[in-house]
Amino acid sequence: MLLIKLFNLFKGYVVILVKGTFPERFLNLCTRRKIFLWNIKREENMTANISIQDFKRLKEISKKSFCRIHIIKKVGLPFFIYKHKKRKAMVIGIVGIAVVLYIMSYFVWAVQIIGNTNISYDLLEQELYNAGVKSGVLRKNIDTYSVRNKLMINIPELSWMSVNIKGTTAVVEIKERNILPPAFPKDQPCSIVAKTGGVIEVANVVEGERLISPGDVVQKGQILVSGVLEGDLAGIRYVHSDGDIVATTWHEKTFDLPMYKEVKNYTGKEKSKHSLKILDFCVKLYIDGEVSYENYERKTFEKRLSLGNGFVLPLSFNYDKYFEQTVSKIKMTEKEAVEETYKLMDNELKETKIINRQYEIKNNKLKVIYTCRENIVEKVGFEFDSY
Amino acid sequence: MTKGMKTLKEKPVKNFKERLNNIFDMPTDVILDVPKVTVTSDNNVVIENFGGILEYSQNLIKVKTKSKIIGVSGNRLVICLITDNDIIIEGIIESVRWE
Repeated sequence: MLLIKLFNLFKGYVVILVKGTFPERFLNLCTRRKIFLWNIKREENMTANISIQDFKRLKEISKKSFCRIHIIKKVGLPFFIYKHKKRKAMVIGIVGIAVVLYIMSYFVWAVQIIGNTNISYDLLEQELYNAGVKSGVLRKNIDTYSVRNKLMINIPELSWMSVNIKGTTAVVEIKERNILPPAFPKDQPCSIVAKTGGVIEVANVVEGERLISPGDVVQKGQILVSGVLEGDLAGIRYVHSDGDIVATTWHEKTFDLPMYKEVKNYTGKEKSKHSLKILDFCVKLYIDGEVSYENYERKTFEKRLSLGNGFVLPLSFNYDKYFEQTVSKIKMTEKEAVEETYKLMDNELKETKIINRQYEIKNNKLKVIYTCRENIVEKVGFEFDSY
Repeated sequence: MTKGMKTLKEKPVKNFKERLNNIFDMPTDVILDVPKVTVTSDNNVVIENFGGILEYSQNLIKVKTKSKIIGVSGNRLVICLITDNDIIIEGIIESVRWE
């Protein structure tokens, strides 16, 4: 219905008042002549909406049905144009805005980056800037293929990316590569040493000479699998030792008690700094820019002006709000402290399997002991005489 | 009374078009110009295939169709749209009756 209403507004229509004894006859005559009427209301007299073209054909019908017709209201674009025909400045203004918007739609005004977690936004933005994707560039000048190539070469962490230009926004979608720590080169001989001390649980050795067996207690840095093989017949061979060695390990840490936590409270005072940004030019909408709060939280967000979804304009409104806070230190109870340290340790030992957690409190010290199961393989190269 | 009974028992007279329609099992409102009345809730009535308006006031709209007269009564009735075939009536509708 909205569309029909808009269409009617665009074409223009007239609200008419029909005075007469038999407006029914008028309606019937109209329908027979295929004159389209809508929104017919009957109070004392009848009002109806009719399009401009049809209105011109009403003269004959009004005579036949003995009805008199008056115009109450003229609605729509044609009447508006007629009314403002002499106002040149307005016409120029409307046309000018239309032209400016049209020209502006040829440029890219915003760069949107989706999908980065480890790669910093600034780096991507800088690289895109160097590759020619920046606000204020002609849309057709952006060669998405070469931009993609350049970025893929310059940023090794990228595994996939795409550049799409939607309206006036360049949407850059990226996928990151998980870069593993450099593995020990496979063709180099090496030994395996213990990453941490513990009790060996499982020792699966694929290559190399096993020096330990399950149940052994090892120290950190102790050689577990040797890459030097001494045979009776072949002499000394150097191999790349490999295998899985799982051990039960203990990790302990002591913390000072009591522990404190910071609690933030809003005082209710706030200050806002708004600014208008046109391209890279910033217009301040505030006078006193100093924030005199000792502790504060800053909330900031940017509202870009846009027509519809795709057509983003190079105009943005930046809100900056500062909320004053008071920070007070509160003593944690023992239970809270233990939980806090557990959280810390859990995060630290993320990659191991935690079997048991224990804590001791003695002389204002909190000692946390973690029992874990983990792979303690660490490959270490060694010097050897080449053949 | 007897006359009334008689008319009830009599088979309704069908013309050629109706009989043809019966044979081919076509929807009646498409082949014959029989009025079709759609009532949505208590605020919207659409009458298709109507002949003309007989009476129009705020409380009653009478519409002529091929066979009978349809009277729509209610409050604040507005003819939302009228063409040579269809009429859409909006307002608070109390009854739709064939007279």
